[in-house]
Amino acid sequence: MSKTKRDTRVLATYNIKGGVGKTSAAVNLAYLAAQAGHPTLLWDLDPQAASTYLFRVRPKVKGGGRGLLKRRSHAGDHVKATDHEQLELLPADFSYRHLDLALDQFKKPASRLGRVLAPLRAEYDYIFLDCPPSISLVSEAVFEASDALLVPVIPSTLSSRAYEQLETLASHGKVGRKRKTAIFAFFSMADVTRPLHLQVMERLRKIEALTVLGVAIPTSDEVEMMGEERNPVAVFAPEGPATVAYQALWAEIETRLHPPPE
Amino acid sequence: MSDREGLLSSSSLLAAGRSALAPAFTVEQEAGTGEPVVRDELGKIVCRLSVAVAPGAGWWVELRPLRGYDKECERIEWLLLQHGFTPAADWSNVDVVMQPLERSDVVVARVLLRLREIQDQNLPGTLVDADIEYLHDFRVAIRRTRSVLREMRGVFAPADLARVRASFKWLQDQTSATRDLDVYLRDFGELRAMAPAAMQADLAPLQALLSARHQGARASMEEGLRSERARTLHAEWLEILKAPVLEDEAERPDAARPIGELTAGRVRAVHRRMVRMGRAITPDSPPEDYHELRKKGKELRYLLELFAKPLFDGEVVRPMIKSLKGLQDVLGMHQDREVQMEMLKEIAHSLVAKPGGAGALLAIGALIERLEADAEAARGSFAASFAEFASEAQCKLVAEVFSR
Repeated sequence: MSKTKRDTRVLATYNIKGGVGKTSAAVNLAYLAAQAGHPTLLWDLDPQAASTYLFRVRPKVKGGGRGLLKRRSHAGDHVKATDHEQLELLPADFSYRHLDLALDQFKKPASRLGRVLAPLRAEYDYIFLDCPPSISLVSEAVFEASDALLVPVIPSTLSSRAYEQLETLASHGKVGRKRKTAIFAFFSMADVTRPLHLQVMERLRKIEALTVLGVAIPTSDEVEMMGEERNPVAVFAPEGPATVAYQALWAEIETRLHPPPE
Repeated sequence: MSDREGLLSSSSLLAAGRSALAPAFTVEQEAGTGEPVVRDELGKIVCRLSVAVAPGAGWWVELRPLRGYDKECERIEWLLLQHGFTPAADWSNVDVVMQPLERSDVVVARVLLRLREIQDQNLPGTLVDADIEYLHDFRVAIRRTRSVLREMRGVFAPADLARVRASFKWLQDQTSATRDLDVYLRDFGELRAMAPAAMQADLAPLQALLSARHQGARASMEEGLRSERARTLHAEWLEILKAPVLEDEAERPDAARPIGELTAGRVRAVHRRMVRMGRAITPDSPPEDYHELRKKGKELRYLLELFAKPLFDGEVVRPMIKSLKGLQDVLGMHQDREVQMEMLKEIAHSLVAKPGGAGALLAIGALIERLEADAEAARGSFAASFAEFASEAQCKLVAEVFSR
């Protein structure tokens, strides 16, 4: 397998705002990809280390973010297997809070993450990047390295404004400058009993420049329980609404990444 | 005695592991798979445990570290070793301590007891077929045992000796076919690569036939190793080794001789014999002559490793073993090729009638040609390796170091 070139897809869960369900999406979608038999890596780029915590791994990378970027060692040396088949983790490290400064030292900072990931492509079908909430050099590098951004949006006005900012950014050509990075937005923590949510969802779906995925992740206790269970929702609530929604979302993303031949 | 005695169920393994690894690690059965796993204090699985149980032969554990957790696993292994688990590295090392002036029968029994332990340690892995190295180490321990019985025969009562030697030969015979096929199958890729590229695919029926034979050989080996005869030998052998000194010495001329003296005499004799045998070999000698010399070489090697190394100057013994190894490698290459050719010729008959048999036969023909060339090359390099081994300086050194 190692000799044949893999068609690896890099997916980043991203939003300028925090607390919108990036980590939940990254952890659950990566888990589902792995469950389907795809070797999958999740790189927790967020110094808060939420996804690292969810997999019970120590948030520590020897040499820190700077060491990884300088490629002093092979990124694969820092990879930890999770407790789940086919799913591995490149943990977060507290030093990632200075990743911007570290990136800035390179001539082409935006392409740096892609270079760190390059040797890992031979091993994985999917690489998920769980990004910190910000708009910075790190996000620029993430955009550059990714095939698709997965943008969770809470259907409330504030958060959708943040998405509009991202849209503006994309149209100004700062996203995926070199490669065509797809941007898939999806609703997260959606509560269909709230008129405001319905209103915002409807409005956003009408913006043509945006790819808003059909599936919305409902607001649910299970997603909140992930912190307690320290597992993807499919492990402890395999039939719950959140699991079903993530499965449908993943199916839609996979179809969009690998459209069936015409 | 019940067959089940000495077996631990996986729940007692969990209990043993739990007490050995606490408080840093916990051992539990994973929900879902039911597999025993070790978790660190964060609750993260750091390694999985494979537990294999061989009926009549006990149980053992294999640690499978998760990626990124090798260090934790090293620690787990260390903790287990502190609590009575046996390290895999010791499964073939003999390293018996001895003094030159000790009685030979006592020292020989000590070495043989250690070899018996090594057989015991490798038997479960052999029976469960976890890794072909278990069978290999098991067989080496038996071969060394037989070699010691032959070389140090003067320390045993003749009646015991004849019976035990026959039994160990029988035991070894139970395992030979499986070991040969283990190696053929392991190295099949190499063998196939020796055939012309266009013919390599035609060898598939050969591989299939070898696999089928391998299964059959394993089944009869397992039956033999679990048989009453094997069990009796195992028990009786311990009885003999436990009390060599108490037996009558009239029939055991070497029993009370100092082991240093006995070893020196044996090394000199076997070395002399090898030199004589080797000098008689010419490029036209039949393969059997090479094989006989190789067998003698193994005898000398075991004498050096088991007895001479702990008793005599390591500075002298180590280079001796090295030059002997050089010679044995050449002889081994020659023997391997001869045996492979024999195997291919014999198996060709069974392949004729199989689908794809004709193509396989042609490919085998090409292979045999190539193997013959290899054997020829080994015969060609024999003279040089033997000259080094049997040089005047070497012979003088042996005479000096192993003088009376």
